[in-house]
Amino acid sequence: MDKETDVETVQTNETRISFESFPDIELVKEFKNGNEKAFDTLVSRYQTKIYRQAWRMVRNEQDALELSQETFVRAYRALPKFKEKSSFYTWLFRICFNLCLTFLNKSKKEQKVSSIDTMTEERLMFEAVSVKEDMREPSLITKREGLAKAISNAVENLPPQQKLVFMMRQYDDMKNNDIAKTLHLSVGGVKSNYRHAIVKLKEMLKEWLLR
Amino acid sequence: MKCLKIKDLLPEYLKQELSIKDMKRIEIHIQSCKSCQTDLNELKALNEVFSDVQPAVKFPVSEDDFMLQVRRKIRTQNVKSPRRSILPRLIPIFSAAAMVFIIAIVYHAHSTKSINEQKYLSSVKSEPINATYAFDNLDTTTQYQVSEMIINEIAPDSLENVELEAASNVSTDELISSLSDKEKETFMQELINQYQENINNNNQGAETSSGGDNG
Repeated sequence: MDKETDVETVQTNETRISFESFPDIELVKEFKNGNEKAFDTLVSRYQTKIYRQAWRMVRNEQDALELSQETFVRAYRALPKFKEKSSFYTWLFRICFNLCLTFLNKSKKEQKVSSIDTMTEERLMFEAVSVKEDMREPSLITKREGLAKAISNAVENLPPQQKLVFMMRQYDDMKNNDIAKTLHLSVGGVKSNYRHAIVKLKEMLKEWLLR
Repeated sequence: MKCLKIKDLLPEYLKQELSIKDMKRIEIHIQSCKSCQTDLNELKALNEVFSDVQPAVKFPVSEDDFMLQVRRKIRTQNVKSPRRSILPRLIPIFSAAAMVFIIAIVYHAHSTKSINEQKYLSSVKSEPINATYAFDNLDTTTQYQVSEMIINEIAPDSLENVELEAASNVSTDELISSLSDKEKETFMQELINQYQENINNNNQGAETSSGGDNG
């Protein structure tokens, strides 16, 4: 590790300690006032979520990493003009979504991948959430692993837009309004996509619902 | 509320995202409606199943490495920090862009003998040289710098979402070509204002320094 990197790492750790309890809106204000460390905390807070969002769309580790990092660079550049009409999180998601969409469209032109409608290079996988009881009950572990596999298959069988809406609603804790802004859909469109996704998932997972 | 409306709101009801009034109405309805009750129970069961698993996308680098990469990209791309003054960036841009306007202003001053900016801007529409025309005639590099400046410095409020579009998928070329003539002119007016302010500041600075020399 060179000296510069070493210093940066130390600063990174200091940043988390000093700002991690601040809400997003306060961090944005701090950054607008010129406090660079506030931005680092925002990166730290959302890097995993943004990476997952990018991966979900482009299905490639290296591209997702590039795009998620670029999301934060763009956010850094545009934050001084951010008018806080939406939450920072939604705004960031939207930047990431738009970047991924541009990437997919460009790739389509270069015939690397067909488009957002066929973004299936790597499969979306789920894993069981481990709970304490599982340790005492091996059959529960097997059951959860089977469930994770079934959900992976079911979600992968959803149409792309329903899949995105479902994942954002279910696993990113986003509200209909925010998803609508991110995906450039109406709120009604988001609700409809989610409803259709639920109906299909219910059908595909019915044997697990009866257990 | 009818069943159809209730069923539509069940996901939000489960996540407690509705108003207290709507939450109450749904609660009361469910107590007496078997069909909605069944739907709600199914949705609850499905949610339980989903909460037993999580997406297994692995984050491929350490969090610190990710942050270091972001910082390096910001440095490499020379993205300005919020505190930096805009003037140093404006000077080279104005030196090229404003030349076009000086020509336009001088041309207009000769023909009307008196000029003020507002009159100029309202009259340029009928002149062969107007702001849009001037912008179109800038060289590509200056156009690029100018459009970057729209995004970073002086985007007028009328350009809704410009910061978001700029931050996302729209290149500066696309952005500038998407502006209407009116928006381009608004922007160019701002350019002229800032240019003249810059000239005035320079003149005042020169006067102060020559006064200081004399004293």
